[in-house]
Amino acid sequence: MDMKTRPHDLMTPSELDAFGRALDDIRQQVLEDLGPRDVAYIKGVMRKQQQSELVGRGLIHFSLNPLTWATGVGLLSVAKIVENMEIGHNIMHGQYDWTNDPDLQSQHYDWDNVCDAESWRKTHNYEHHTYTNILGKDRDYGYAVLRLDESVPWRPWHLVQFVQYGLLSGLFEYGVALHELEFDRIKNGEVKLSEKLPFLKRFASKARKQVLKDYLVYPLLAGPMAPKVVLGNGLANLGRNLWASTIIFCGHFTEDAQTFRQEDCETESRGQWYYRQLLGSSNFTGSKWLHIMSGHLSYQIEHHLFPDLPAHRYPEIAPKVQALCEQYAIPYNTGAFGKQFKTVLKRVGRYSLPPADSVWASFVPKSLKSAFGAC
Amino acid sequence: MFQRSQLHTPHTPAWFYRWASGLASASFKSQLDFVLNEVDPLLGIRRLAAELVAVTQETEDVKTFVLRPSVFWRGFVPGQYVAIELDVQGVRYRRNYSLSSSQAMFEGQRLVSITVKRVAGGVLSNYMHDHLAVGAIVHLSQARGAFVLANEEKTDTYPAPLHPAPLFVAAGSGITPVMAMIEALAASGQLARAVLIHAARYERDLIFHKRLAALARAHPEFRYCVQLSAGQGGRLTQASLLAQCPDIGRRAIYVCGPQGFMTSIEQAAMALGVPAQAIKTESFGLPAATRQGARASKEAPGPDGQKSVRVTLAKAHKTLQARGTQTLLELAEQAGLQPKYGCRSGICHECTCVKTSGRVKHAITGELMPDEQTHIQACMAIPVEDVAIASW
Repeated sequence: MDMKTRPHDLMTPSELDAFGRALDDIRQQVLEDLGPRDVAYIKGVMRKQQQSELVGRGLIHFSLNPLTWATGVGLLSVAKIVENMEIGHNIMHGQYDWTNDPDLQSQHYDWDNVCDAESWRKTHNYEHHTYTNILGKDRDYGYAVLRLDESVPWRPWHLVQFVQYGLLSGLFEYGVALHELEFDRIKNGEVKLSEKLPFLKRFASKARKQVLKDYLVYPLLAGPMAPKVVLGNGLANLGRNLWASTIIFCGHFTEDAQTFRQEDCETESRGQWYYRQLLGSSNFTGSKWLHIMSGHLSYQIEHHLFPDLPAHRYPEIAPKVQALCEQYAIPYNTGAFGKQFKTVLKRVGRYSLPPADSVWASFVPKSLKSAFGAC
Repeated sequence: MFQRSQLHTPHTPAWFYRWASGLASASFKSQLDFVLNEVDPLLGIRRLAAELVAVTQETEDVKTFVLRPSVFWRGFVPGQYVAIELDVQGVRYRRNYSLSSSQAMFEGQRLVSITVKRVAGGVLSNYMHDHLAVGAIVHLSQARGAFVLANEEKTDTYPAPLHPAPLFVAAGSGITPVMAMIEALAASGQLARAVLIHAARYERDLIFHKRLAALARAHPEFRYCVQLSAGQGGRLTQASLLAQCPDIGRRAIYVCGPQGFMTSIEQAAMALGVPAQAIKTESFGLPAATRQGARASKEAPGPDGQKSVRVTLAKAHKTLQARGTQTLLELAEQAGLQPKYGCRSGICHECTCVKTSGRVKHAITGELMPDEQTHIQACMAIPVEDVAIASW
């Protein structure tokens, strides 16, 4: 079941207001408690990340056997993941703006990713976080590449959308970097390519910097061993891309994550906004390292309610949010990482199949339909 | 040897060289800085650091902090200041302090000092007085400021002769840059021609009194006058200024102290015929315009009972009136600015602006935002007192 939830139908306006105020209180409590603990946490992670990157790059350069080289690739990949997810993503949300520290400023931070930081802040912080899971408004929903909902008309090529899914995951940083291009809207003629020139310039400048760093400058430093550095850096980037896309897909594309219609969200109150964020997001459980490696997007619900609170605080406030959900009988979508990811794959599979009323439906084997839970 | 000129052949154009070195420095600078910091924080190249080596009590509420700056710190001219950065409760504070030590101390021991008065409610001064211990790492800027001896402005010959002779007028912690200048004059044998009027409320509040008295004993021609406002002398007036320095009209005057003090000395000196260009001042704290604005706004509540406040936009050179109902973003847009924004509901931080002074409240919760928070969301910030924005 995939409903287009209308938030104001399920809760009364006064209930929504009280619910919004309760969440505002949770937020205010954290704001009042912000202090050295938060700075020590993020600086500690940044230090470990730097160490991991240095050792990783060092091993890739100076490894004498495949094992040390592979360890280097692993460490560099972990460093890139932590830098993108726990450090970059969270700092760029403004989670540490209150520290006045220029290294932790949302509007100045730039990350180890081909996506231009300015473009990321616009498409992610503003568009995705404001219009989360509103079909037609939140372009992160399926990235205009995947069919994850029946609002996208089915086409025969959707049958192989697992291929697109794999490509999107492997090249995730490029997908994210070109998100602002809105290629689908250029194709329909909604947007002109010339309007996107300033963006393309910024994209080219950032992408060139990243590509030269990982595939020219560092390899040149290794002299004759350059090819193994090119390969190592490439694999580290690939590992980060696959991991990041997996985590992000688990945040909004799980089976029970809900989607919304534009017209239902036009005059949204703060309580309704909170409510939509809750219904459109899903958490996953796991060990402490899994939370850090996911940039605490394992607490996607808390992140979407409070995108600018330091992410390491999410585990502390999650029980309060969950209690509030119980009080108002709102589903709190969580489960083990593996289980949540399975439901993402199920969704990708289900919507790759033609809808039941389509003439193509009769050609799909029943076993495939039941495996993906298609109706 | 691999020399720079060899890289710079006709086949590698200059732009390529600049571009390649820029790329390399961008990629490696932060990593190099990280490694250097791991070895020793004093080796950091992105932020200048100094180690605190001694703390001495000057008066009841004034302490001198002796610092050993890193090798990347380039030195100073007496009278200049540094910006000191410290993290208190996770928040970074930045304040300017004049260097109160002599150049001889820097040249001989590579040490400098700042002298800090405890300010009631001042976060950084109280933190430094109560918690900063020997061995701590402090971040600082290179020395800057134009409050220096007239002959120091052109530094091709040193020591250049001082012409005309100086008169220093200092009050409270305004003595700190003056102390460095006086030590420089003593070192170059030119102190005999100087006059110092040192003002304070009580004798116990005079910073560096013993050091100055000793200099006066060693240089009998140096005139050191103490003016205690709570004592017989009272406040400095035109008459007392003339009495202590009859040749004031022929001197270069250096004034440093609280804003009101400096204004009154400037007015008195000009009334005594001193040309305006002969007077140099160093202001501590808020610029006069902001303070006058703050005073004016307290006297002018709006018709709806809301206090009328001013919003100063530094880059746009605009001052706006606000009445406590509109956010900074709305105010700026009404004034014809087009600041960057996104959600307009406090989610995305796209409209973040830099506030240098004044307090704001949150548009939804009504909570006052912490005073020290400089980077604020313009769409959620309603000014409740005069506010200055540096980024617009």
